[in-house]
Amino acid sequence: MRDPSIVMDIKRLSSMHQTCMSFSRSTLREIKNKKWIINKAKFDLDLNGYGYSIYSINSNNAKYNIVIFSQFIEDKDRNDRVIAEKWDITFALVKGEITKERLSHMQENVPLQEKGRNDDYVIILSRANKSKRIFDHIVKSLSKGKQPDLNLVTEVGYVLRTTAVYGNGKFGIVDFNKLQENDDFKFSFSAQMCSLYVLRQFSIDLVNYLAKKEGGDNAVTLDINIQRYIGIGNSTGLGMAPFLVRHPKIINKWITNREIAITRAKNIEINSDALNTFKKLLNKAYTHFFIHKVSYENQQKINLQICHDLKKILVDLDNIKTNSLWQNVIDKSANYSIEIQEIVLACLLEVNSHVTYDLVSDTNIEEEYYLDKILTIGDIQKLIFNRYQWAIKIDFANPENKYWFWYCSSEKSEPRIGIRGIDVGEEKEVFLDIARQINDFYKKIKSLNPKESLAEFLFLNPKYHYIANRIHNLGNSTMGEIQVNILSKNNSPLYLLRCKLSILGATRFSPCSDKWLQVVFFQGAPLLSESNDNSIFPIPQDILA
Amino acid sequence: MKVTYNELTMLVYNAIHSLKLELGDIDRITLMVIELELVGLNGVKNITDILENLTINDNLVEKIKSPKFHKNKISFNLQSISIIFYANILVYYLREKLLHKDYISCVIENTSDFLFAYNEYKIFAENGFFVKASWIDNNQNVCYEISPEDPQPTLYFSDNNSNKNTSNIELIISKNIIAKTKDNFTSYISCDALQKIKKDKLSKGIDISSNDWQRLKNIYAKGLVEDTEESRKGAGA
Repeated sequence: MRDPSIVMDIKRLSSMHQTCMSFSRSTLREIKNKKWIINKAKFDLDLNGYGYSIYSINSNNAKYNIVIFSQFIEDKDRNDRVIAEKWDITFALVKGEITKERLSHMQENVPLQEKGRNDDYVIILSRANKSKRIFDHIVKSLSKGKQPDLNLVTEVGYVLRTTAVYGNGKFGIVDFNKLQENDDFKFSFSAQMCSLYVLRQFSIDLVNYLAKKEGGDNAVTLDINIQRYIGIGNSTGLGMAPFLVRHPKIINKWITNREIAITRAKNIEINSDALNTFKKLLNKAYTHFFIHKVSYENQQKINLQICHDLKKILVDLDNIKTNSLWQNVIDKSANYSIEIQEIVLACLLEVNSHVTYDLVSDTNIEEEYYLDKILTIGDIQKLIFNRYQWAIKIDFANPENKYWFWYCSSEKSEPRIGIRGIDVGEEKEVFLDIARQINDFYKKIKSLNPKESLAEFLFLNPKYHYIANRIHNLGNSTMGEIQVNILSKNNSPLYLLRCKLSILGATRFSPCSDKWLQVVFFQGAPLLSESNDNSIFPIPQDILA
Repeated sequence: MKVTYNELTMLVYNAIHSLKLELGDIDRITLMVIELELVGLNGVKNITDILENLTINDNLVEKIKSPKFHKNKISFNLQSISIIFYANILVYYLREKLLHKDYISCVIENTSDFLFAYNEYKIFAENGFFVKASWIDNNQNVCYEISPEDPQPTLYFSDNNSNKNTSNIELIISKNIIAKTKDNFTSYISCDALQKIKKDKLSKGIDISSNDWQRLKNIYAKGLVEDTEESRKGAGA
């Protein structure tokens, strides 16, 4: 496997892309392979599309329903941020039948989201807004018998855009640990991804329904190829970042699995079919980035550079011989940017996806840990020196290295960042500063006698217990610690967000500022009636052809 | 009101975190509270009482000195700091000492909230030791006994009429069986009973008094920063 200093560098993690191991893809595979039956069971909407719908899911193990509420909201209330109070669409994934009592309780609570209270038959709770840019346009076009403007469809890529997708015990819904006995949703984020996949179908059904109501016999349904290109949008902000810092064991599991898969794949011999597919995927990636228009300047530059480099590496690959190992392809990519290297890895896994299947069903891990070994100061000095050079070499006397502070706002208790010395709330800073804590701890112990007892030290210096515990327990979980000083002026919170989003399976990273971004899930993914998933680096080739 | 395991864990963690104490490991402390709550021993109410009345300052921590050790006996003085903030550190300290000893008998002086070390003592049992801890709480003698591989301890209770110091815990950790003292106690909760309570709560939901929940939320709120127009620009999606 690659060294953690390479893999866990934040710049590389934030260059990762969706792979066949990403949770959206693995969930979809499960749904298709096990032939889950998903049906529109109820579509009780009025002329304006307001009311509720139910999509039933039969996994063969159990029955579920996704209950979707659609309501009128003023344009001024349509806000993607977590601080919003109203949404066009709210929905929940529920285990079991929807009885009258359940439906009534859900009608009262699901639209309230954080302010509602749910029972533990609810597995996922979420909400979405209509895309202002495209929703009305699609409905109007279809109602007049025309397909929507393909350029606009390409530019946006979704009809509905979700924000928070709540799981794991939030607001009364079932705890993730209770799902461990549920064969359908026991893996990380599988319930969230299933919900988004079904919501995507609802979004297509909704525009078709409204067009028919408006246009009557003149209306047409959305072209099947456009339907496939429609994904589900998602807006994500700082709320996702603390997860990555607070759950190092989970991160270690996810990233290690990915590295195992890469190691397996790079030792496979290249055959001509696989090489051709691989080149086609790189070409697809080129188109994907070429047509992705993004207003955020940095991302625009990155996408342009990716296109430029992809053309070059495709020429380089002409020299690759069949019967050599995929390692040779990886070696070639080392001459290019991290973005290109990660695109190459995503395509490598795609053509060798069989090496990933056992790994994607091994994503859960026990997170509780304590200092289970008796250590000396020397043991911990060595561990820090060997594993945490990236943290101990930071000069925290330099204000630029502690520029940001993270805090929780009183509004919905959500994480935000402020500038130290300027913004209010510094005294309430939250402890996400792993690099600084390690740096501080190392300074304190580096000149102590290595034979001294760590237990004695911690007894007199209790504030270091957490970081000592973390360092020791991540000593054998080398892919758990993201190598970043999140306080640094040079660190963009977007790095952390993109890392997790790619693991989830998002594409089309479109930053809206340095603090939040929009992405798309399930773009290019098979529709309910289809099975083949060719959704890596989705492009609208079929609709533009 | 019924709350989920994750809601409870997050709120307890956040409430403790909001006080910005530089003591121990908040993840471990949170677990101590949750475990007590799950076995029906009022973890939430008691941690709320502690946090509402907390007056720890750096001076107290600085007053804590290395424990006195003589043969197999050791004594700690926690300078009136609650055991909840020191239990994980004490347990690690004692485990180191047990590397070369078959048993240790210790006194933890000048502390409070004795039952909160409940979950941390289990670490000894997980590592093959028998544990017996005893203290006096509200004029009641309490004894905690756990054997290796037991998922929960057995707790014994009796009325106390003596004038014994009530801010100490007496603790014995041994590789060999410790003589049971239940004959002196008038009531007990068995390991099986505690484990059953925990299983029931995990499967049926955790009932918390609305009042305690709100008090805990109020403590957490102290760690939140009021919104400004500027900070709203950074609000997450």
